[in-house]
Amino acid sequence: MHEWALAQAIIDAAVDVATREDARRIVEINIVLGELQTIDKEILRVALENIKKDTIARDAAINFESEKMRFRCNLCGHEWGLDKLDDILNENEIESIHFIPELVHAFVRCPNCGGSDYEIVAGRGVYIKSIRVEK
Amino acid sequence: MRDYREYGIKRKLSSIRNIICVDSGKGGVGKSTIASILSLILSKRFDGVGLLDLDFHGPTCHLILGIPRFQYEEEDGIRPYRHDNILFASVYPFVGDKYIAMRGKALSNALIEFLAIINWGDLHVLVIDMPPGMGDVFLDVVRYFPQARHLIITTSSILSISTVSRLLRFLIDHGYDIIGIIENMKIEGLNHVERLAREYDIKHLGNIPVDQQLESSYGKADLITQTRAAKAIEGIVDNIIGALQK
Repeated sequence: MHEWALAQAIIDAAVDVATREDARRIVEINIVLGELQTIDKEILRVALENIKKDTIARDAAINFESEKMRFRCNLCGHEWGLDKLDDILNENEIESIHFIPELVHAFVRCPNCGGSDYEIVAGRGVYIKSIRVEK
Repeated sequence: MRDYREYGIKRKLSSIRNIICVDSGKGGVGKSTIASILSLILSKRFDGVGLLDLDFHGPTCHLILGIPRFQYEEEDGIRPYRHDNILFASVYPFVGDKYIAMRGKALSNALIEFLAIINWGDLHVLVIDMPPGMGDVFLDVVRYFPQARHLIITTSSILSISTVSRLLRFLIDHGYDIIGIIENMKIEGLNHVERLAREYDIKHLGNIPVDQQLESSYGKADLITQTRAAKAIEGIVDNIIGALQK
C-alpha cells in the first residue's frame, strides 16, 4: 500500500533526527494528515506500528491531527475549502490526488472565477509536525 | 527538520545502479524521443531498465512507445508499469489528457511526492526524460540524484546552442557528471555543437538525422527501432554504456 511507503519514510526521518540529537529513544511522533490526500489513518497507523518495532521509536506514541483543506486563488484572491472530495470528484481522480496531492490542479477550479491558478494553503498531505525524544 | 519524503526518495533509489538524465535546457530538441528510444535499446541489452517521464506539463514518452493509459498497482508505494522490458512511470496515468496548471512550489512538491512513492526495485539503469528548462523540477532532480549522469541533447541551431551552453556551465560549475552531447536533427554544414563540445571539454557523441519516418512510427516500438534516428542512437549507445561503467 502507498501508506506503507509513507510510513517507512516517516520512521526513517524521525529516527535520523533523533539519532542526530543523541536521543536514546523517541517518545512520540506527531503527524498531520492533510485531508486532501485522503490517507487511510488506520492503515498508516498499522504500518507505523510495524515499521517502528525494530528502531528507537519502538515505544513511541503515534498521534494524528487532521488538517482541513484550504485553497487560495491567485487570480481573484478567493479562498475556499472542501469538506469532501467525493462530492465533486470521481474515484480515479481522488486516487490520483491521494498519490500526488498537487494533481488536484487537474481536477478542481476556483469556485469563484473558474481559474486553475491557485495555491493549496492548508491540508495538502502528510507531514511530521514534531517528535519528542528522550536523551 | 528535513522533509520526511526525502528519506523515501533515498530508499526508493537505493537499488538503482545508474541514472541517466536526458536533458537540454531547451524545449523541442527531441529529449523525449531520444530518452524513449534509448530506453528501448537498453532494454534489449539489459534487464532492469526504467524510464521516468518527468515532464509534468506535457508528458509524451507514453505516446512515443505506445504505452496505454494504465493504473498503477500499489506495492510499498506504486509499481512502475512494465511495457515489454521497460519499467515505466509518468504522471500521465493519473491525469490523462487534462492540463495541470501548477506553479513552481506545487511542481516541486508533486515531484518529491512522486519520487518518494515509485517502487523501482532493482534497476540496472533509470533513464529520466527531463522537462525543458532549469526550473524547479530540474533543480530538484540534480539535488536528489547527484550521482546521475547527464546526456545533453541539442539541435544544430545556434538558438539551441546558446541555451544548452548555459546548462553545461551549470552542470560543470556544480560538478555533475556529463556523459556527452548528442546533436539531434543534424543540419549539415553547421558545426556549433562540435565547437561547444570542445569549449566545455565534453564528448560529442554523435548526430541524429532529421527523420520523417519517426512521426509515423510513434506509438509502435517495433517500427521506431527501424528508423534512421533509432539506428543513429544505436550507434551512440556503446559510448553511453561505456560512460556508465567508469
